[in-house]
Amino acid sequence: MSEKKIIEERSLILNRRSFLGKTALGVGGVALASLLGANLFRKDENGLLTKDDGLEGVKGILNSLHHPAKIKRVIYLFQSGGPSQLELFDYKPLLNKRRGEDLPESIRNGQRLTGMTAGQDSFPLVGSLFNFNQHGKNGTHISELLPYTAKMVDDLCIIKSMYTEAINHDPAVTFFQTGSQQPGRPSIGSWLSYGLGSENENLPAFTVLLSRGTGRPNGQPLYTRLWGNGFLHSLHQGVQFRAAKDPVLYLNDPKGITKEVKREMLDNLAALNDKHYQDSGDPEIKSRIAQYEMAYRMQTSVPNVMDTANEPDYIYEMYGPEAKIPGTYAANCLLARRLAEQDVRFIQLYHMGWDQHDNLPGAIAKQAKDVDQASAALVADLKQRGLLEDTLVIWGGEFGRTNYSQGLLTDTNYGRDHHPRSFTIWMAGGGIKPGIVYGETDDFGYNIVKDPVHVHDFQATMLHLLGIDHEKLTYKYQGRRFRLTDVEGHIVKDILT
Amino acid sequence: MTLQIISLGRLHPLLVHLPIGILVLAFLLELYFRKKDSETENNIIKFTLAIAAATTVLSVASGWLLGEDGGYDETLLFRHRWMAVGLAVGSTLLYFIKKYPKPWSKNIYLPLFICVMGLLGLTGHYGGSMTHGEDYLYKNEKTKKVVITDVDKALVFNDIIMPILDDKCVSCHNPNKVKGGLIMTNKEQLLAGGDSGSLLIAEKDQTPRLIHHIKLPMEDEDHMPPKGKVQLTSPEIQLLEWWISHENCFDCVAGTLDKTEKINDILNSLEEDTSTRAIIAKEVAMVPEDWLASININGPIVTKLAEKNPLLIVNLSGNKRLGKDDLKALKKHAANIVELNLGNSNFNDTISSYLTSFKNLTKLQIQNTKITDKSMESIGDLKHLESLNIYGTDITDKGLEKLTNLGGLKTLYPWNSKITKEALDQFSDKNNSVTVVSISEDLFTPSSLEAPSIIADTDFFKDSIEVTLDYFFKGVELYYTLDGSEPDTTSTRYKEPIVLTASTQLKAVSHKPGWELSPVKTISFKKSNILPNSITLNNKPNEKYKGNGGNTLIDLKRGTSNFVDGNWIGYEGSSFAATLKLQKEELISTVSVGAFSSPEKWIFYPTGFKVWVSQDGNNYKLVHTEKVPTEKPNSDTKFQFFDLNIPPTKSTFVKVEVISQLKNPSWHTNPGGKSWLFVDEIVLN
Repeated sequence: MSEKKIIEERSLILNRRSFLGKTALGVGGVALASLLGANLFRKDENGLLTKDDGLEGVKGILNSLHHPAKIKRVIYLFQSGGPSQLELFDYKPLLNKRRGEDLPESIRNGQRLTGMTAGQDSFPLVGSLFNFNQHGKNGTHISELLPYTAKMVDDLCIIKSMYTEAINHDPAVTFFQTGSQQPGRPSIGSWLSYGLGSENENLPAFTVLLSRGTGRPNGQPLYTRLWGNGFLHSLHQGVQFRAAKDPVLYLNDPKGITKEVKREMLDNLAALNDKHYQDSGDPEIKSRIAQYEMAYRMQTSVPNVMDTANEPDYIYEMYGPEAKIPGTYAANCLLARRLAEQDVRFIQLYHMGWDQHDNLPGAIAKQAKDVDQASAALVADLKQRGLLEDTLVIWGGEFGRTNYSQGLLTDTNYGRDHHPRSFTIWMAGGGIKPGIVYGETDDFGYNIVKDPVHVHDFQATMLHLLGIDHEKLTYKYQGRRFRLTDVEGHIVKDILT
Repeated sequence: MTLQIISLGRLHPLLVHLPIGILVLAFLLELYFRKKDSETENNIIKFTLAIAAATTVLSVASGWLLGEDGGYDETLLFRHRWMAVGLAVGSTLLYFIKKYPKPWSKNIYLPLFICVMGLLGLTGHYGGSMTHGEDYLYKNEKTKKVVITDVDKALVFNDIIMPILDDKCVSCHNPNKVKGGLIMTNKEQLLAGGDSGSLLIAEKDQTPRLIHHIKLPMEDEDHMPPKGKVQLTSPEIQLLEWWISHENCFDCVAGTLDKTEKINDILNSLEEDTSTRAIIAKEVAMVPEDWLASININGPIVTKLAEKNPLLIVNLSGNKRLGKDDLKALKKHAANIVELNLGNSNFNDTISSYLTSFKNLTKLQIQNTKITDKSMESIGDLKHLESLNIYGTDITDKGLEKLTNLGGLKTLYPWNSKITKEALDQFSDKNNSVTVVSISEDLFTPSSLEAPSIIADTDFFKDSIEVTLDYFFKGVELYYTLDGSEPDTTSTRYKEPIVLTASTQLKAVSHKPGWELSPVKTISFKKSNILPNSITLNNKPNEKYKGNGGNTLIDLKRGTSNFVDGNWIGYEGSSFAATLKLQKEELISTVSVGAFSSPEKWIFYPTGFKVWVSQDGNNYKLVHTEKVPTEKPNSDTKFQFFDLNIPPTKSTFVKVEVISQLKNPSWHTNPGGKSWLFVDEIVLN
């Protein structure tokens, strides 16, 4: 957008605002004030501007939900890199039987490959080196790599028929998070923050926690735009909580600055910003004022959430020994529960390192151990606290892995390349049928034969559970209305209670 | 021509009402004027009777033609028709008797009139039966309505299709009024079809007649239901099509038929929501928006369940200053509130009596509050309650007893309360419909011991360092060694922080009676009492892994298994040498080099080292050469220090050459590829 265009757009906002604000203030303003109660323009005891100053963000754009919600919040345990469904959930004995044979073309059926295996002379099928056992009331097959997840299987809804359109990490993760393979759209959490606002005014509606896996410690990095606000106001971007002395960067006051000084500074700054807003009409200024205020409140709320010292020993026992080490997946799962207790709406975890192109058996064993106990513990912990009833927990990556070996296939070693056509995720929580397996792949674990679930279907279903019609939560930008599911998405009704 | 006659017949419904009214009027006039036998009155009655007789004849004529149209119950039609003829004759006769009174006829006038009135009633009744159905008078509308609570279990024909036909078709296609020879009141008749043929089964490449007629344009003669009648809605038409496409199955259950998403939506909309909340929603009114705005002025407390829904959710969780005023403020619309979250607040027994106003609560969360058994009385009265969360409260078995009257209770969260396991078991036995949520205690009990955590500020130290061992699991003993040997229960038992004064490899295990010994955890602590002033590298590390240049090697920061963390420097396919300059001349006896290996990432340990020393920085003397055996086939990620013991020498400059194996070994997946060398520290002692 050219600078001239931006100025024109702003002047439009200004005109509209001036019209509403100045011309109609006499009548409209008073009417509005009486409608919302007399305290429309009040400040609270600390002199904080309240949400009624027209700051979007604390209050969502939706006045109320489209239909009654089954869940109030989402914890998304994103397994970045593409976990191999064939070693974890999708039990395919045929691959062991036909180990080393070439993948039949009738099964591959023209599937495009990444540059990493496109040049391979052959595509030798390879089954899991790890055993599968049956668990739970329905005898669901779960790999021995996930002993704790297996214990919770009666609470999980395992979807074996996910598929995506992307074949490489960045577009695939972006697709899951924003509904588009191209960067630039808002992330799921941003959409929720925009639509529903924050239920806890002291914490952002959308928080992000990162951890690195041991399976591939230096695998693909993640980009902050994955939890970016896209074209929505920057107020809606995810706030990353780090495992360090300052969980949220630049939150603490510099030395020598007291709370009072800070407050006074913010008030004056807000007044200046407001004046600037009056002149320019740039809505980002409003976002900025709101962000300063949020940061001020987070100075107390964040340390409270992050301080896990008062968690009893048996909780650490549940999440595993790593829960005591900040920055690990287990510690992040524990934090996720604490954020859920504080009514944070969207809690996004990323665990990196699932990209096992080579040396898969050794690496995935470590990687699975990173997440198994803590993921299961999180579900159990939410359950005993009554939080699972209105929380949705999602475990899954951006795509699956091939049924043939990438690189040399030996007795104890093999690798797997990216596979978008079928992979497994699980969900647990409010509104989701517990203890079921949904969807099916063929005996080669390559194609879906029953109940396919597209990424947009997954997103539509998640929004449905939150009480949102995915076709109605939109934002107009560059002349068209955008939504998380773009122009697609069907609710997967069969997995709903 | 026939058409025109029939359309005259269609005037029958209009004409038929005239003789009824006028005949009744004539009869009433006759009774009223009975005592006065004056001319005027007689003329009035004569005139009335004349019109009555005329309209009766017209009605019979038009009715006769309409009857020819067909589609009526034959018996009813026969009776109606001939009684009407009788009525016409009777009323005409009455007129003539009145007009030309004869002595003989005076006596039969009144009895005849009474007979005509009786005939009128019967004729009218049969007529009504033909158009409205015989059971019209006695039919009870309410009992006919089918209530679907679970659409998957609904019978497609009986519960979904038949109600549509009943509503829109049957009034003209019933045994009494068989338009087009078609009766649509039951399965057999539907299958039999009408005059033009089968209703449900289509000829090849055609739509079944049922759908065909419905979909004809409204202007078309054959459009059904006829113009002016209540039409089928679009969802109803879709349901009929869906049903017919399944070969008109009459006994299918909706859940077993395949359906599009659209049909699914329509079916779901038929489902009568019988949930507690839906019933409450019907009983309460919408809450004014300005009340919501005023109560939420300081933060979101009350939210509507959804748009156009009168029910409310209240979230006061975490409010440590909760008082009775907060609950009082909600009282005005307490009946709308179905969900109340007071968890982690200071809700307590003194304000719990306010709960009784929230009589429609289906979900109540009072976890982690100061509530005790005293408050359970008022909770036991919340008759709609379905989910109750009391975890982390001081509620005991006594409080639990108060819940036995809550017939609708579905979920109870008693975790960490003071309720005993026995009481909970008893409660579960008595209340089968309640799920008492609990997590089995042994679910997360480790099946094996983990290695202990070894905690210290840093891996390097100058004089001494304090190291702590920790384990998260109670009742575990920790054992350790400092000499590199494998620890077991005969090793030193850990009691207090260990103070190290020399470079040490610390190994520790966890032990618990009856359990297998844990794996060993090993951490090397490196003493570094000679700190170099500066360092120079003879060739630059790879641009991607250059860390902070040479300084990376003397910053006393160990690299991690994540070799891009900036604490490692890497060389691809080449060795390197580093020259360290000390602040002053020192006695050096050990040079330690930290290196990384991860064959799968093409990174290998060095294959050898060379160490030179110098006093002036110009003349170097080679003091040590060490060869390291090349790695055996493996794919582990690991790092370790290589300690090079040199003859104790006083010097100011130390030069260390780290020798790379340059190429991947023959056992590697890419033999001959340029291998990498990664080093994080060079430490002098």
